[in-house]
Amino acid sequence: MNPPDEEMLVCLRSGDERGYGRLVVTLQEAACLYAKSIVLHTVTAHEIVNDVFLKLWTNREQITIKSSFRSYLFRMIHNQCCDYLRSNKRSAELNFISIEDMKLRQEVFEIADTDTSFEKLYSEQAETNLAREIGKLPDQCREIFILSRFEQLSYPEIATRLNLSLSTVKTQMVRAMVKLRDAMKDFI
Amino acid sequence: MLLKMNDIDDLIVRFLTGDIARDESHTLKDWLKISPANREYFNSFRDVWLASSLLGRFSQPAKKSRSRNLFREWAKIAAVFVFALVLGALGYRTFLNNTSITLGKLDPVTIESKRGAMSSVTLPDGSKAWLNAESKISYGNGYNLSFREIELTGEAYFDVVTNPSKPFVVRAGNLAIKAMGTSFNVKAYPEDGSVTTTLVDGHVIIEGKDSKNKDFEIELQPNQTITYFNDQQDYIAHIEETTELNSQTPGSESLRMTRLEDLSIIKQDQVKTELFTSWKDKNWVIEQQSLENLTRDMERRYDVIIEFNSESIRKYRFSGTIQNETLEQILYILHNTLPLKYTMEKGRIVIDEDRTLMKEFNRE
Repeated sequence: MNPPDEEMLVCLRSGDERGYGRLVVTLQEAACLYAKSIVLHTVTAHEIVNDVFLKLWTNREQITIKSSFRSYLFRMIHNQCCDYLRSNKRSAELNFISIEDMKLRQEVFEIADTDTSFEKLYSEQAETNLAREIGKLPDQCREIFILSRFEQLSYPEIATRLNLSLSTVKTQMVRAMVKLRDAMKDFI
Repeated sequence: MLLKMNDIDDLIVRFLTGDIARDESHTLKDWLKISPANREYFNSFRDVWLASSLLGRFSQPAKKSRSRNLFREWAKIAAVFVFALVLGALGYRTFLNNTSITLGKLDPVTIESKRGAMSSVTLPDGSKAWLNAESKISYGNGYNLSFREIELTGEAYFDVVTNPSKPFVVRAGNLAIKAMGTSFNVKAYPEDGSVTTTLVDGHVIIEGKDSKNKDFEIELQPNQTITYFNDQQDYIAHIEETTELNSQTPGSESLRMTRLEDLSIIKQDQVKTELFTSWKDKNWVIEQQSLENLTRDMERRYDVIIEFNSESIRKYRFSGTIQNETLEQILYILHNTLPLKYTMEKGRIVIDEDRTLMKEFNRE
């Protein structure tokens, strides 16, 4: 278990609200982007993550965390995201993706779901390898992947910025993902 | 329903990115139901997708100081060993205690450790850099797109991800230090008047200009250190001083060095690299360091001013391992091993020789 993890548990157990808040800040960005990768909507992702952090805090006395804090947290976010996709209550308000499509997304995730452990997705080694493999992508492909995943630009935004057609951006994104999957299949 | 592999890859990626039509989602769903192998295949894509959302997104909180009875400067330092990971380069700005990371749309990215603080960062290509106190690195937004170039002031240790097509270049003082995949340390504080490069593994090439303004290139092997002096006078003074010291302590291995013709450069072979790199670790290993140099490192590390009341004491050498010790503890250790006494007031330390101890010390 790494130090922030341990600290997080200590803060939860001892009811150190400020300490917990400080640690939440360090995890928030990753948590939101992770949630967004599933629900595909920034505001919703933030709401889900805030809910999860709040739930962890209010239920701190009932929770027993056997694995690392992070893997518990990310599992919780994962579940919460799927719950959100399943429910049709809030999606209607947001109206960015139809209820039907959201349900389908959830179903696909559910059918496929074998336990995605946080440890598997995130370790220093996996991080270094992934960063290296991204570095190896052909220039255009890498640029598109970086703009999409790290700078959170939409396809039309990327197309405008790089002066490319929308279909080129989409094709290159598929290409990047396929190459990364091939390279990472032994690590992740 | 027959789908070619290419189509499936395309479908999966478009599903993950949300760029998918409803009937395609149904197709994917049906395909997933067919076999566990299909689901596993999908999952490998999903995991890359999710992992890339985590890449470089964790910043570690400041460590808490363990010690209580120290003066404030030190508490500050211990609290500020900040681990910040940086990725992407758009309008992202955060301040973590004494370490600031600035990412602007057009400006270069700058990562800085103030006096009394240390930090480390993961660069966009996955390479890592550890920054010593009062040090700064910066790189442009184009970093890793076609080249990897970094500007350094102060001291940093680099762990570079191998990428033959994009050399990693550190610009420090008048030098360009080029590396492929390698670990090395560069010390280039302007006030030191020299740039010291220590190679731990891999290989690096150092480029610069000699006193006659001619280009030179030196290749560094692992466990070698090269010190380049900006000023020839400093260089000569350093050589004389070291030669004198070596004559006093024959066989002093850590000081064995080679002069390179026409260049204000000293090359040392078979060095213990930890002496040059351990500033970033828990155990800071010091061997045969003159107090003059050691106190300069201490000033930056603990954000204090150290002065000498006696000239002779500057040249005394110290060996030892600093293990999370506080400034007070280090001074106490120095006092116990060398004939000196010190006073400390408001972050200003004055070191003087201790006559009584001096007599005993010289007798030994």
